[in-house]
Amino acid sequence: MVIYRDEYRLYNFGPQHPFSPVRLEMLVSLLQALGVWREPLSPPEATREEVLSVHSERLVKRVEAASRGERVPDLEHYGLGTGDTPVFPGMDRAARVLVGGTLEGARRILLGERRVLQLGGGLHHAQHDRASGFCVYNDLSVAIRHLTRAGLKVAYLDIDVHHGDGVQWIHYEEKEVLTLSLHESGRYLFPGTGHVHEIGRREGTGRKLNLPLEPFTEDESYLEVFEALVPWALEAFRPDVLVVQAGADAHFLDPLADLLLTTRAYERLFRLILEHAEVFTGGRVLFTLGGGYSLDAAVRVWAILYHVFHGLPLPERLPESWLKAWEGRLGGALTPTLHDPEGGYPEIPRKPEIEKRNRLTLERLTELVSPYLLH
Amino acid sequence: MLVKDVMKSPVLSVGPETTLEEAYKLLLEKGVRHLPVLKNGKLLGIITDRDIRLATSHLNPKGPCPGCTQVGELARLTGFLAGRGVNIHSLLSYPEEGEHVRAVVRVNTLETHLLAQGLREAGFEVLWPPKKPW
Repeated sequence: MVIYRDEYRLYNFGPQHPFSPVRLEMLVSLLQALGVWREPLSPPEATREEVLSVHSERLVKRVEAASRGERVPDLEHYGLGTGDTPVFPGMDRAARVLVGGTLEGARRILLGERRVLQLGGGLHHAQHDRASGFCVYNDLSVAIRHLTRAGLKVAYLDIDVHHGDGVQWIHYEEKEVLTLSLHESGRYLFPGTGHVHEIGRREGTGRKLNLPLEPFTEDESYLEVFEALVPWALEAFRPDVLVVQAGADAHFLDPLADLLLTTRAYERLFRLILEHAEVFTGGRVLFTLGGGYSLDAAVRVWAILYHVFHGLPLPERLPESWLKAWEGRLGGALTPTLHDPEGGYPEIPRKPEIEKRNRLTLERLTELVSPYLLH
Repeated sequence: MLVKDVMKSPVLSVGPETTLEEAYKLLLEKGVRHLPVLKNGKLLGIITDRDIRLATSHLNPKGPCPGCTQVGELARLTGFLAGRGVNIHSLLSYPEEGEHVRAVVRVNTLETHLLAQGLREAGFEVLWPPKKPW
């Protein structure tokens, strides 16, 4: 099941802003040009009450007021009206439309759907009391809360290059939610958190896992630590459902971060995730999108997700008509193949050092959480 | 009474590659004053809050900076960031070999690469984030 509606593109911080709704337009038109687009489920927008299941009244009131163009004096304390998360008219509704999509995915899972792909959302930086990092409302947490209230154990996997801080902190003390974030280390990258020692608190101790990676980590090292960590953690936790934030910004072309994944790693990741869902959650998995600031790369990564999700063969070249249209509109060349060409970035001299450090980080993480996660 | 009756276990530890900043944060968060340093399960040493304080005391020099002849450079840096609407979490500056002052600025924004580009254009030498030629 695919969830999408055109109104996702209302979530728009302006033409200069990296979190661009153009990505969705490009992605949908690519899938249409490839002949694989099927009518998705159009979700209802989330209600105010549903947003309040995770966020504070103080935040929601202010988002609503700012959305109407009213002057709100302390917006910046709530993470709004900043360079990263500016205010725009209709912001509240646009955010609730995205939340509605992910929440509908959660509802469908409860109704017996197994694989759900929400072609939007992934706003993992939004906090209970604060917007942050392009994220106004946390669609992931609203969906997760809906699932835990129905008695399910939820494993949340975040492969966005930025630490999934919002989701982590919101569920930090909850034992029914396992959060697993792989990200470029907070030493170097927003939001600056996601250290190995953030393992949860009280009931949630040992259920919040962070794997901060070295900048310039490449496919091999990422996949190595991913496979050493994820099945191990899922096996210990025994979730009923897997929720995956599939941000595409760990790709080497991404201008906002410094990891070096190629589309081939992403293909492998998506296949592995689906396999793990089969083994650990009876196939129940809910994907959302997320960050991805190279239009060229993000669209191809998510097209790969769509194809792997549906068990479709991957095309080699992208349709000429689509390439022409978008190269014209964007004013630059696009990668003409689905996968990256060879040699997309130069050799990294520190590669052995990077691999070693990532292994060490993994070791430290498993050392810290094992006493709590394994019984 | 034996040690094993009174000791704390499991004990929080760090590795030799842990930064002082992270170690210090751990000390504060967990309310301990010493951290054993382990590598591959073997005890290499111990680090205490006093060790960290002594090691970092040079970062807040009381004397004049020998190479700092340019008045207002730090203000120019923070002014640039303010002009871009970027919130500064923290700023650490210390003198380096020769005529340089190194400033480590933690900023509340995802767009550090764009900032770095702007800073380079404004004449600053930016070490991180690096330029990526691809």
